[in-house]
Amino acid sequence: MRLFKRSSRTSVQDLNPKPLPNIPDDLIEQILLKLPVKSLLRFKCVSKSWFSLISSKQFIQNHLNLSSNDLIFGAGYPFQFELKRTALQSALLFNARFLEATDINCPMKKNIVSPRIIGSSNGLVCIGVDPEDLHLWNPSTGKFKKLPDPNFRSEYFSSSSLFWFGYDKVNEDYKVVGIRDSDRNPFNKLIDMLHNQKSNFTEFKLYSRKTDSWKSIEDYKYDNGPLPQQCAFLHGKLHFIVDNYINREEDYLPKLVHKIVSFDLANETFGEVGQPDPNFHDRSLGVLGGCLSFLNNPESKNDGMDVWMMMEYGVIESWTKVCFIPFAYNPGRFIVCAPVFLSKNGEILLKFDQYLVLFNPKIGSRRYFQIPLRFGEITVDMYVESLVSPDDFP
Amino acid sequence: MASKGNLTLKSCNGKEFIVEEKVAVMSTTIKNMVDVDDSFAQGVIPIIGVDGKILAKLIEYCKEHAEADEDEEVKSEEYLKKFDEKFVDELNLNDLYDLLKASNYLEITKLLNLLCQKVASMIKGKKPEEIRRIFNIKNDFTPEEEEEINRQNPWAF
Repeated sequence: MRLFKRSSRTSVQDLNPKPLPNIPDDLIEQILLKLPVKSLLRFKCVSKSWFSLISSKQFIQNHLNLSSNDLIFGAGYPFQFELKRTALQSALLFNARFLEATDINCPMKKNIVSPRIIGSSNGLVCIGVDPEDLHLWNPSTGKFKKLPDPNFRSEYFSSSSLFWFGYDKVNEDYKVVGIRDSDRNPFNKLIDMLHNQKSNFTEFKLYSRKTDSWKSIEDYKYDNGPLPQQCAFLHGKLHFIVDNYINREEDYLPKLVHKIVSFDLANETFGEVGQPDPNFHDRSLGVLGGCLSFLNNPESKNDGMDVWMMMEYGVIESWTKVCFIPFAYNPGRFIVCAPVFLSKNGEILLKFDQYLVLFNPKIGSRRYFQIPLRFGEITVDMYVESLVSPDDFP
Repeated sequence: MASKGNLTLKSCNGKEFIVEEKVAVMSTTIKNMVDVDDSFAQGVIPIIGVDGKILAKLIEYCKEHAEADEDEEVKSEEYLKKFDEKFVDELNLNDLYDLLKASNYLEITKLLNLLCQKVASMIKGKKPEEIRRIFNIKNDFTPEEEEEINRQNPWAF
């Protein structure tokens, strides 16, 4: 699966003629930790002790910690789903001109109505198959499980829904948030507000892999506006931008107010994270170098994006404008421009339209890579290969 | 006797090497010995179970890496990567195994990782029966059990 294999002049056949002298168990473990998932699955049947080692929770965790970052790309139209993966290192290599990626075989490929990547964490990918049919899936082991139906109260055809995925480290649990809006037209909400009515409601539900069930989170209070669309997972919390109409006496019309809201997956509470720039346009949230980051185009001119980073999590004053990334061309329409990765030497990787852009703020250089997918709105996510099972650990 | 800032390492077959302290303490085991007992820093440090040839190899590796830690300008990350690749590629199987054991005993973490990575890349495409032969492992599964495990992981083959 890797693009860049290490060259080995001492050929693999070297090992064939003679066995190695007895190697202590701790060294065997050190060696196995460096193997790809595919080899480890195959070596489970070597012996009982290898089987229990490779299946152990500690080994799976240690192996995960050593896994290198990949990028996963997904794009889908009804009944067509393309998924690819590439080593992150190859996207950052200075001399790489083309972004080569390998296909990921999706076992749920049949009858996919609305395919999309919901999120990726520790080697598990949450995939949307139908609008409300989700799967937890490990693309490296091929194992997957179907999530139960969230059973929203409102009818699907008069509403819209969205899902986010993250890992709750405190409870060692994988969780999915599902939000369903009973009215997908934000204008109606404005009308309702003007009449001091509340005819619509937003349902906020949480799935836990441990309990394998959904439950309702009742105190979601940001439902006077369109559904939030951006999500960044950091420090055990999902972060998203909400646009809410606030009806104040001094204003003639309800005012649209933007906020960055967090949802803590462990204690299931909401919080507000202050934002750097009240003037929001075409914005998006993400994580760069372990910091919450925020892209914003304050003038809405479609010419580029300000990149902000919250250097110290939770401290509003620490929001820092890192750079402005000019677009190479005007996409001519609204596109989701998402932060993907910050490299060791300060280069910022962004998703822009059908491209990945690697921007170096120090010298202002940009490199574009076309994402090798044929159709649709592309999702880019970080991915690591792991042995983590989509089922709760037995 | 080694001058100040240098240590003397003695292999199991009696060969002595005078090395800079910063090179020797790449080994956590040696670092602990020197930290705990000052007499080691003055006298000779015996390296049990490691012969002169392997000890020379270890010192060659540690020298490059200690110098790189000190001066990133001269020995860049790229340079070290190339050095590491050449270092493991030139080893024969016996030396690889001896170095693996020695770097484990002497706790030279970077080298141990490099060598484990090398062995991993050598075995990753092998079949289970080849693995058993290479590592001298007895198959304690019944054929039915083995088949069941493989049936659960069809992607691995």
